[in-house]
Amino acid sequence: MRRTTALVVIVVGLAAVAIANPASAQTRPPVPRRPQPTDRIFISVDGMYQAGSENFTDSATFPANAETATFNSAYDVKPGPAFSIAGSGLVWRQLAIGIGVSRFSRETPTAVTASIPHPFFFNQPRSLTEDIAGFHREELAVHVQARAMVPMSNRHMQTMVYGGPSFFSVKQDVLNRVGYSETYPYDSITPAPGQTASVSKSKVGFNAGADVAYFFTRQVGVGGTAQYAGTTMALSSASGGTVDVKVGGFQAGGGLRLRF
Amino acid sequence: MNRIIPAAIAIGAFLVSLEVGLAQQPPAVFIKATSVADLRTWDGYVTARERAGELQVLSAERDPSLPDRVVERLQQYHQGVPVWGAQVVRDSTDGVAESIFGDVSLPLTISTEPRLSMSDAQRVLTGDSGFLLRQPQLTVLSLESGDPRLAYTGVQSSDTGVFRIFIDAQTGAELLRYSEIETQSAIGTGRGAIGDRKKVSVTQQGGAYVADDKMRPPKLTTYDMRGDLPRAFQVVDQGAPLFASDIASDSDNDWTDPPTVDAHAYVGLTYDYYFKRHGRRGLDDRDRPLVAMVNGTRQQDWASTPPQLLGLFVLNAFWCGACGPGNVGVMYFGNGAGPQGFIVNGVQQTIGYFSGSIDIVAHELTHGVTQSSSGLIYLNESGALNESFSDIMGASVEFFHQPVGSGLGQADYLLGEDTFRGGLNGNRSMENPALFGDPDHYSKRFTGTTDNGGVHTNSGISNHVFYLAIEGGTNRTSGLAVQGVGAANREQIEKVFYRAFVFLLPANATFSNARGTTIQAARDLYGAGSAPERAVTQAWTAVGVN
Repeated sequence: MRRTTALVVIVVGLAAVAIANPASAQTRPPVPRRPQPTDRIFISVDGMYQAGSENFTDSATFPANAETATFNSAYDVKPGPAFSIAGSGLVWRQLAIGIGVSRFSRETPTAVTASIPHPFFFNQPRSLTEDIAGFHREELAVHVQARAMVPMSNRHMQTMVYGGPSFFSVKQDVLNRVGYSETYPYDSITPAPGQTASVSKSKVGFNAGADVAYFFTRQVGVGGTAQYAGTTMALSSASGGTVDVKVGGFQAGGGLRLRF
Repeated sequence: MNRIIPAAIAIGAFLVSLEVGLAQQPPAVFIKATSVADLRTWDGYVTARERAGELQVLSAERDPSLPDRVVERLQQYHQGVPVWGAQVVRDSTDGVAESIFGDVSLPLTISTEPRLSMSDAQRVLTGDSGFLLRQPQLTVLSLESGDPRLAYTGVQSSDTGVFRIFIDAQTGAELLRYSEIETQSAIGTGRGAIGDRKKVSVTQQGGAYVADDKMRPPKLTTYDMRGDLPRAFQVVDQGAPLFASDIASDSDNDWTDPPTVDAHAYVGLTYDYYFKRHGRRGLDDRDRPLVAMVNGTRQQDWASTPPQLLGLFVLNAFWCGACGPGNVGVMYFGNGAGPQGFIVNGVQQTIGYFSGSIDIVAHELTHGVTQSSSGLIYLNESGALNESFSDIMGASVEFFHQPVGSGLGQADYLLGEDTFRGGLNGNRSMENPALFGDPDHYSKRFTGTTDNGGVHTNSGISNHVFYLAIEGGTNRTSGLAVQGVGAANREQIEKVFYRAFVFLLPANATFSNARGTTIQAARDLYGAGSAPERAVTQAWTAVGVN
């Protein structure tokens, strides 16, 4: 939370610097005023690349063969492409209010280790190591942003810094119960389909970033953006409790810019 | 061949007409062919349907015990869709059928085009709260009424269990559901006679658990006579049937009756030993059911037991080959007399639960193995060899499952040491048979007629051979030294004795035969001049058997 607050303060500060008319200007010789933006609506459509969210692990136990079986699942959240679309409207001087949507969908291959008690003997567990493919994560985030335009002398250039709350909705495939098959004499086990589930959760996080655009014409241009948007949420664990999972992350990309 | 096929089909049709005509039963063909004439007919029939694509080879395996044989498993198909459970098993040598068994449908006519899509089937089979462990598969299911029906089948897991479910591939209606084996078997715990905690493989039945092991390949059941000696007597001596209500049971799966816990666990462990060490599948190598019986009397009731039954049902354990359900044989374990002391073989001892010693349990089960293999006649020298092989396998099972040592629950060369307790534990010694008055040399063998010619006495001679071949040492009578293979290589001598006693010995074997076959087995398994051959040869010479 402290990290979130600090970033929001930085973003708001940058915005304030960007939009303020310095008081010292009154005592100095008059300088030509920078042109005020004449366009009021800004739209960006970006292809992004999201760096990997932090991997996470889950573990659970369950009764098996009169002892306790354990399994651990290590979810590898791969980096990958994301898609983002945002629009904003100028509300006061260089300050705009905007809203954006981003979507990230990736495989989260999972490494599973398990220890399953032997049916006939105490303290002689069979071990299992297995890589499970096919698990997915889907992140959908709605970002509400305060955007500050940084005045530029070059009218083809446009720079914005922005930040605000993000509303994350995440759907993550998880392993609820490890699967294994065994045959007599049961001294070893082999992987088998386990019990999987798709868990969903929503939570508010934050976003902050900067956007630089170059307009070929008055209204159409290209731009690049770099932002951080993320939060930590407690997903249902196979153990029946919860496991903290970081969603979102650093994103960078570029695409089309429109202004009207 | 062309003449055979119509004949076979005619037989099949005849069987079908009997079935259909009388009770509207499924049009099935039951195949059971073991005689030359039957085999000729049915092999032709199976081959014809195989050529038509209705039977397809699912697997072809070699049985390790009969390496010349190939066992083919053929699955019936109807227009490429498997017919659920319809298989034929053909055992052959060099392409010549030795036996054929099967149960297949006559050629079917139903459509194999489902109205339900695979995804619809998946949705129906998943249900409201379950998930599928295996993807749906199209199959032809023969209903109880006999009608074949195109069906989807899958294995669903939910809070209520794991079930194989069949739904009609045209309408989605459920046709059949049964629990997969995982939900039937259960692992319980209990304490044995020496207070050790062990696992028992049992079956959940209603709200209780019964001592019926469904995890091992053969049916393994322990019956609890609940102290009803007359009933135990009727079962053993008069062929009275055992009922499901006789099976040992427990309400919470934490078993508290030591003889039940030990018997059930140790019979299973003995089966495991034979399987893991020798590749043998139980009594007859074909997973014949294993039946144990305990609590013929309560320990505290020993004194009121009729004297003529005391030695058999209280202070004893035995194998009864003709007893039990379907005459599969029963291992009976007496409960002993608890703290009451007895003089046994000149030694003051207490006698506890006979099922409480793993070597005693393995000893009794091995009698069943002998009965199904060499059939050593239970009289004189062959009888002593019969007893000795049970002792040898008893000790081998003990060393396989227990740590080496001289305490309770530890492996040594005493027999029954967890049951017979006193200044001297056990009732026989393989290391020094004379401790219990048994001969360690052929010259000292018992030549009387009691005990079937001293079968429990003269077993000491070959028991000592087994010990010397492993551990080495000097025979106390002959003074001859033996270089054993060493405890780390005990597996070699176990395999030598197993091969000799199960495969090579004739039913009326003598000690001399046993010498010859064990030496031959050592050569077969490890080569002429090998350490096992040398050890076995020296050991027999040391005990005076040539």
